[in-house]
Amino acid sequence: MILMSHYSTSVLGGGLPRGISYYITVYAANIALIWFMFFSGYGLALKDIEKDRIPIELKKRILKVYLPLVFVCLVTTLVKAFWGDWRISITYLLGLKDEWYVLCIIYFYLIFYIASYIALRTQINKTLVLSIFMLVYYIIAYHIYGEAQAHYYRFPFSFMVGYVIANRQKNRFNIAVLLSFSLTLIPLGLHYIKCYIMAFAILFIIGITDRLYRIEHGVLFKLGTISFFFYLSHQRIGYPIMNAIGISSCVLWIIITSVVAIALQVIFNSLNTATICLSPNKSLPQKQNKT
Amino acid sequence: MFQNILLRTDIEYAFVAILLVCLFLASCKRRNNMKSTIVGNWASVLGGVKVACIYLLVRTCLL
Repeated sequence: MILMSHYSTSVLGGGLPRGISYYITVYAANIALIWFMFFSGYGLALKDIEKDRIPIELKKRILKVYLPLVFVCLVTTLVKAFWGDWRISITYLLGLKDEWYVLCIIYFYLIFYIASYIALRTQINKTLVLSIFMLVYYIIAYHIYGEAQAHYYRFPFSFMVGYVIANRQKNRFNIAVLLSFSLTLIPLGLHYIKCYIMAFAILFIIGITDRLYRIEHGVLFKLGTISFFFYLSHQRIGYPIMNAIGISSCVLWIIITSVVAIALQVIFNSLNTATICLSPNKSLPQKQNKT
Repeated sequence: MFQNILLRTDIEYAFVAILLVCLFLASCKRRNNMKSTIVGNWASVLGGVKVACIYLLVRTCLL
């Protein structure tokens, strides 16, 4: 959905007449990002972490999203060098240029784990601490980033809805959290409120079907495993390759990016395994025997 | 020229959307009953969808 939206903006530009392309451009990427953040909040809420393990878990979480970004930026630089562009930018290699999503999700991770630590230490309700921290983040991001980089403050509501839904047990703060965070949508405008309504409506429908059906195999399941590399490489590597081929096609872009993402994931996993094997202090996780 | 590109993009988007729905349905398995899949239940619908996909693919290639 993000790729399709980017395709429209790159190939068709603005001022589209109402039609499939218009609606994809306007809604698809926003809905996908709302889902991303929703599932991030949902997944984190399901984690039951001990106080002592919070720094390790935080480091693990950040590296899980940051290392693939750096790896993809490195590969992109090599691909560009292959085409004769030898310019090397350290900020680009470190993933600090042309990337907001990974940085935003790292902020959310930081906030979540710091809130968890404080909640465990002070015995204050975790939902309350997290909500206060996220609201503070929203206010700071709103004033620092402004309209030009609004992505940084568009999604705390989505993250918190995911978190609250994952916390199934009755919590007196849940309703208050949802109500107060829904107020954060007002400065975003009617368009984003529409995107949120559509995103949650689709999630609700899938939530109903989830009671009857589950996804556990198939191509879509496999695509899910490469989704992060797909996202990271679609503009960096997929788009230049499509342009080099000389055919402007969304389907071709998806195919190229899928192949690139599979290759990147295989190489990254191999490097990861090799690093673990070579490290003197670490060993591969061993199977636990059931007794 | 722009109209042609727009039309082709519309068709491609429709194709990708239908394909994703098909993949979603094909990846679903009914809970509590492993033999009865959603694909089986929706076989007739999927048959129609496949025909639509092939049609859209052909149209995409022709444009």
